[in-house]
Amino acid sequence: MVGDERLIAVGISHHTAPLEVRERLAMPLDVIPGLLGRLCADGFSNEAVLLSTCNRTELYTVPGHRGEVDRFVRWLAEAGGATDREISEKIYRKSDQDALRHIFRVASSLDSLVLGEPQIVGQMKTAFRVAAEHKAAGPMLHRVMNHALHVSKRVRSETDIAREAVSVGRAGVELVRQVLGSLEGRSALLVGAGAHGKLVARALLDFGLSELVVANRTFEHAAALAEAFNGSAIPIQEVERYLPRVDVVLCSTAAGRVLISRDEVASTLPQRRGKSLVMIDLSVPRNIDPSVNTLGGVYRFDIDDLAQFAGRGQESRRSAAAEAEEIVELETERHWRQLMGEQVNRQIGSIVQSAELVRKLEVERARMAMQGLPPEQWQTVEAMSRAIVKKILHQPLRQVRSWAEDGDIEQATSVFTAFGNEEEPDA
Amino acid sequence: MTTIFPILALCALIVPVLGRGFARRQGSAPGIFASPSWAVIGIGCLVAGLVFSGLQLGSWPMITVQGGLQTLALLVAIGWVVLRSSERMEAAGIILSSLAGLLVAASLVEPPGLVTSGVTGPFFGLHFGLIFVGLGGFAVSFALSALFLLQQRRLKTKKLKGIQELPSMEVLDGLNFRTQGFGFVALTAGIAMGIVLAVERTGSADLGDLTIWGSGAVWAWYAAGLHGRLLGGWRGRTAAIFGVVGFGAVSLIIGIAVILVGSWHGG
Repeated sequence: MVGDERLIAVGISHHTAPLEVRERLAMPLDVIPGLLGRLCADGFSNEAVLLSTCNRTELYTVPGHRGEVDRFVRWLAEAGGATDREISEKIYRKSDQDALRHIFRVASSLDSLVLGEPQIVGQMKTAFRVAAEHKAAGPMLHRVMNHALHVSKRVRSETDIAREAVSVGRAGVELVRQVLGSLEGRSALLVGAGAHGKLVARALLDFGLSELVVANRTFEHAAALAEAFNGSAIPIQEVERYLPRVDVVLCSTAAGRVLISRDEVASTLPQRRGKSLVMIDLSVPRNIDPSVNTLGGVYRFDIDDLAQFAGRGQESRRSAAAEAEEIVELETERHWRQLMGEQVNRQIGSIVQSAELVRKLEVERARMAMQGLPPEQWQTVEAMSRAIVKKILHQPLRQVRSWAEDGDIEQATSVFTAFGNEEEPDA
Repeated sequence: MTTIFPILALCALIVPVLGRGFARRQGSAPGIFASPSWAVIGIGCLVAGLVFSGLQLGSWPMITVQGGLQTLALLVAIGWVVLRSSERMEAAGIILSSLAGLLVAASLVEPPGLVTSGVTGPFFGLHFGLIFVGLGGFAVSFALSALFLLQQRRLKTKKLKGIQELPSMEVLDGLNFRTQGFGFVALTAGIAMGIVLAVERTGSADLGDLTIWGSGAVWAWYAAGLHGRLLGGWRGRTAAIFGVVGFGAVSLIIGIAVILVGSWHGG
């Protein structure tokens, strides 16, 4: 390991970068296993989990022998195909207890654009599952992610942070209604089967939307979704034909490119005869050309806009957030100590094993030199050597345990360094 | 007595606007300033003032410039009360209340005008009444159009904070169409009645004054806007621009009539 960090979190989020920057680092779920595999194979990382959502792309890692924070920053920028300095500067870096606190805050939705929103828990679970399935997440991150989910559950059950959270779905409905008024008699086109798109579509139907048309790259998926929503399915090639007819377009795909261009929308406007069109692009990278917003009667919103709108109740959740922050702080302290305690115990075990190895070698050497010694006397020598090793190690290891229990991990690990027994990789 | 009622009306119309502004600056709730009672008090004072003025004149109060402005203010204030029945119309109320206050203030600044010559009788009252009802409709349409354009700008530039306090774009557009249509029908009837009366009195519809040609221009403007909406799909922003520009023209004509002529039909 190059640096002294045990846990590293690097990433980019709505706090540090606008959507047009974030979408460059957005990573589809199907490419994540390959990226994690390379990261671990290159010796940068012993364990890694990559979380990529609409609002953030973050790497949580236990660094390997070649791993250091700046390398992970470069790796993340390059993994997203973004090598320019501007992006690297927007990537934040956190290590050890700060990294753990950050992961807990993310899981508890304290770092979310919409304070208290529930989707992040599912997204973290998925990120961890993918990493675990591809052997990128080992024991340390397994514990970290389990702790994170535990903290998230505690925050949601013990504070009111989630009580008034306006979901992305509801925010989408409110924005649509701000333009179109009542949803009765209105129709919407859902392109893709992304989670946020489905949430907004469901909410629109709950608020009286009359017709939902679903388009997907795989027609069978569109048909299944349409059946679930009591709507109708069309092949994705038919989207342009439906643009003049619908009042709302929801895009939520993993296509990673623009699917609906400004020209396509502009060409439908004469047929709309002044009727407003609301286009909600929930994909990252975006699927609807942002310049459609300059067209008369067309209102385009993206995930940041929905979050901004949904966040209008944030003020009332501020006090709940303060309570949640206290819980996160306490849990971070506790879990970090626990994690380090486990690590110290592993290292103590390793020192004891090394000492035992040395003892055995030395006893064997003595046996060669004193071959005439009767067996019962050898037993005494063996016992004596064990007692010496035990007594020599007892006091320093007791002190190490005491430091670890008091949370003074630095002091504890300095002893291992003195023993020449630095931490071995977990995985 | 001729000014006391308009002054009271002015206070009732302006207090909620100023009070809300002050409350917003302090970060507190508008409280009593959000009460609909202010509009009702304003309307009551304006009606009382107009009745008193009519009794003094022995004719319809709106045939003087002062009375006309106060009648228009009354109609705008009534428009405010009617709009309150729709959801989230507080912002429109602020525009209309300010507008009504401005009209009352203008009527107080203007020296007492002459009764327009030779205009007596119920038909002249109806002619003026219909014209002012039409202008009142356009004033309400102006407030809705201004709100529409303001909200559209905020939606397009993604300034979404607090936008849910405004009515939806579709509601604004629908109400704008109805108030423009209502104003247009009333103005058309008022102009038609004016033509009949002018021909009857002078043998010609052309009295050669600003208000007649101005009314004709305003009528043509709104006729074009409504025609475009019904047949060409001129909705939303286009209709809102028609509403703002149309009422701008109305204000200009009233302003010139008040400042330069001092009477509706050349004294």
